Amino acid sequence: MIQFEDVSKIYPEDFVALRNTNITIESGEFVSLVGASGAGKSTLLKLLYAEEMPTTGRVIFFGRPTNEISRRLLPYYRRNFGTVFQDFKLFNNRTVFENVAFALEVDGRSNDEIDEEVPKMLSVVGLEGKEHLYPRQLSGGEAQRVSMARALIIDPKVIIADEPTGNLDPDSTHGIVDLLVKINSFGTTVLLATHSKEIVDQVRKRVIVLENGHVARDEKNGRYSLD
Amino acid sequence: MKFLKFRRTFVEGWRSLFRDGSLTFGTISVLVLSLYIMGITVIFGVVVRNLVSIGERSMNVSVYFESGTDESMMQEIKSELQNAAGIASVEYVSPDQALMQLRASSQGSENIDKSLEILGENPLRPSLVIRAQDPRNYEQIVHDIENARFASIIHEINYAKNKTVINRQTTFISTVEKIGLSLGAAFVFIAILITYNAIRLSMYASRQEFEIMRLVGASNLYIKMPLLFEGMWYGIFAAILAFILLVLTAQFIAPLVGDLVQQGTVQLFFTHSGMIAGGLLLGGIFQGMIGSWFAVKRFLSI
Repeated sequence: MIQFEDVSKIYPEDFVALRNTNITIESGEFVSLVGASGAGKSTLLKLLYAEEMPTTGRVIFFGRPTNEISRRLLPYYRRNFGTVFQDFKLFNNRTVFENVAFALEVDGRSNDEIDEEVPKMLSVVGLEGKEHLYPRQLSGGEAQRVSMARALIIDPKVIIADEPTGNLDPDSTHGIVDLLVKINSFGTTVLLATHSKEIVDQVRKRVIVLENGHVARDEKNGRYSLD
Repeated sequence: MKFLKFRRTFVEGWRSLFRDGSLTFGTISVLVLSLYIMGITVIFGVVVRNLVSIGERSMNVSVYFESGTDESMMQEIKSELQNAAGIASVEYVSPDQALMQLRASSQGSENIDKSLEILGENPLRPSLVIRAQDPRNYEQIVHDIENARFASIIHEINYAKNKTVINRQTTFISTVEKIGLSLGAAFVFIAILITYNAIRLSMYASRQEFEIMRLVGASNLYIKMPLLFEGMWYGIFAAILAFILLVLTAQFIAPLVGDLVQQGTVQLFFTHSGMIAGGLLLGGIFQGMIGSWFAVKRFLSI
C-alpha cells in the first residue's frame, strides 16, 4: 500500500534528512518508527502525507506517486490520512465538538451527519460530556484524544502519529497507545513515530529504526533496542 | 455540497470578525473614514453641480440690434442662429416686449411712462437672447456673431460683463471635481492598504490554524474564502456607519453653510439615499475584499 522507493530528502544547505530509503508497508500494519531526534522520522511521515516532496526517489500510495498529484488535488489526497501530533494541533478558539466537526465540514458532510457522528466519535475516545469545552480547559491526555477523534472521524486509511505522547504523563501515554492499537485492530494502518522505548516494547509490532536518515533495522515483531 | 461549503466559509468569515475585536475595530474605522470622505466629496460635487446648473440656466448673452431693424430681419437672424453649433436656444425680444419687461421689473412704471412721453418713442432696441449648450461655448458664439454677415446692424453684445462670472464658474466646477477625485482616490488607496494589513495580521494570528486546516485536508479555496468574507463584512459595516455619519452631517452641518446648499443636500438625501447607500456598500465591499485578496495572495502560500 505504501512504498518508499529509494527516497532521499535533502533540505537546503545540504542537510540530508533521508538517504536512499526503501520501505514497504502493507495495509493494516502497525509500524513503529523509532530513532533519535533528527533521525528522519518526521520527514518520512511528511513525505507520506505530501507536506514535503522527495528530492529523489518516489513515495507511492496505492500505486500512485505523491509527486504526480496536482496541487489542486493534494487536499483530497490528505484526507486519506488522520494525523496526530505531539502539540495536538487543535483550534484553540473552537470547542471540542467544533474541532472534531471541522474535519467533516471540510469533507463536505451535512450538518445532520456531523451532529450524529461527532458525539459518537467523542465517546469512542472517552470524551463524552466534554463537547463544549475549549482545548485550554482540557488536560494533555484529553487534548490528544480530541486530536485522535478528529483524525479518526473521516475514517482514514492511515493514522499518522508523530510523537503523540511526547507531552503526556505515563497514564495518558498508555491510554493513547491502547487507543492506537485498538484502531489498528479494526484494520486501519497505523504509523507511529516515537523515541519512547516503553511504548515500542508495549506494542510489540513491526519496528523500523532510523539512524541518520538510514533504515538501520526493520523487524516484524520488534523491540526498541537490540538487547 | 458547493453551497454547503460556501455557507460554512461565509459563517466562518463572520465569526473571525469577533476573534480580534481591536483589529476589527481599527480596520472598520479606517474604512468608514475613507467611505465618509468619498461620500462627502460626491455629495459636495453634486450640490455644486446643482448650483452651477441653476446659474447656467440664468446665464445668457443678449445681442442688441440697431433701432429700426425690422422684425422679419430679426426672425431671419434668429433662425440662422438657432441652427448654429453650440447654441441651445435663441429668443427674440422686440422693443415692445423689452419695454414690458422693463416695466415689470421696475418698482413703479410712472417714471418710465414720463420718460417715454418726453422721448416720444420707445428707445429700446430689439434683441436676441442666446443661451449656449455649454457655458464654455459663449466665447466662440460671441466671436462668430461678431464676424457674421449681420454684424453691421449689431449695436452691442453684453458678453463682456457676463464673461468673468461665466469663466469663474467653469473653473470652479473643474477644480472642485479634480480635488474631489484625487482626495477620493487617495483615500481608497489608503483604505485598501490598511485592510490589507489588518487581514495580514489576522492571518499571522491564525497561521497555525491554516496548517491544521491543510493537514485535515481543507482545499485552498476553503481556507481562503473565510478571509475574503471577513473583508466583505468589514466593508458592509463600514458602509453602514459611513451612511449614518453622512446623514448626520447633512442634517446638522448643512444649515450652517446656507440655504441653497442645505436645500441641495437635504433634497439629495431624500431623492438619492438608496443610491448613496448602495454606492457606499459597493465601495466598502470592494475595498474590503480587495484588501483581503491582496493579503491572501501575498501571505497565504499554500
